Amino acid sequence: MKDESGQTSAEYLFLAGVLILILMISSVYIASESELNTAMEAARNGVNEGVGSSSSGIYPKDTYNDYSTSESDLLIPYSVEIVNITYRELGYDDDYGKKKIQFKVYANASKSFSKKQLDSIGDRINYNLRKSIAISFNSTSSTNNLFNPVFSPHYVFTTANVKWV
Amino acid sequence: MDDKGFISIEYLFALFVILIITIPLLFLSQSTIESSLNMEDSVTHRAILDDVANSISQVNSNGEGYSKHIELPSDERYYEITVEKNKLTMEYDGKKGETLLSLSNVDAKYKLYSGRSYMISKNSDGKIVIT
Repeated sequence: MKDESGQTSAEYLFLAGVLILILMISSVYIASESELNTAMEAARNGVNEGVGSSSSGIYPKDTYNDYSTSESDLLIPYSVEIVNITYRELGYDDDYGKKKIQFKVYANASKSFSKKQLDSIGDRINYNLRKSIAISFNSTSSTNNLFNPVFSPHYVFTTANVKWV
Repeated sequence: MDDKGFISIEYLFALFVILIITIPLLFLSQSTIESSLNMEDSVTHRAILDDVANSISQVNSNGEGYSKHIELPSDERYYEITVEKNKLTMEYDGKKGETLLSLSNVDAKYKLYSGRSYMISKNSDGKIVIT
């Protein structure tokens, strides 16, 4: 009995050992892929929040004061449709020692806004996108007030201006 | 005894793997929950603001002496609504939003607070009075 138990456990340990080895090798790839997936999900989430504030027309006080002097159109609820969110790799960033990723949001506004207004809307969408990534990777402390750029363990994220289609 | 030992190692290993998978997800769900709560909050407050604006417009479009009783919902957060001329402004928790009243005749500046009830009426001069 004792022998049999011993044999099983040796096989088991061998199997487990091989498994751990495979896991460790593949985990590097899996981790970076899942990190990007998480970032993409966080980005979509943040963009939704940015768009949501357009349809409620309620903004943080500073933004409100800013809009009420120059862009009062934005204080009335309006809708923004997100067409697509993409990202591209911009190679390795030597300063941060991480891979650079740039997000780009394609959107469509319900009304015709001036270029300046569209820039404001786009900035808010991008800000929420970066903020969401910062919270999702728990890296709010390592970035600035505008969350630009924002970090994950292996990547540094930036946003391109929103493309209005 | 051996078997028991093995179960606990398997268990620990599984627990370890589950923890590795779930910890990053925890932060992601925190951000998701936070943003949906934020959005819900803004939309609720916008609805209250529009509701008050509608009530004022309703009183305005009726004849003299018409009045309407409104009760501002009290959620956990304190908010205040300022009625000034044709503009309603809502402030809460460091956030601000506004809505415009069309064709209304509000002379004075009124401040409305969450959880209280008010009477909107039209006096003999055709002006809107909130008490």
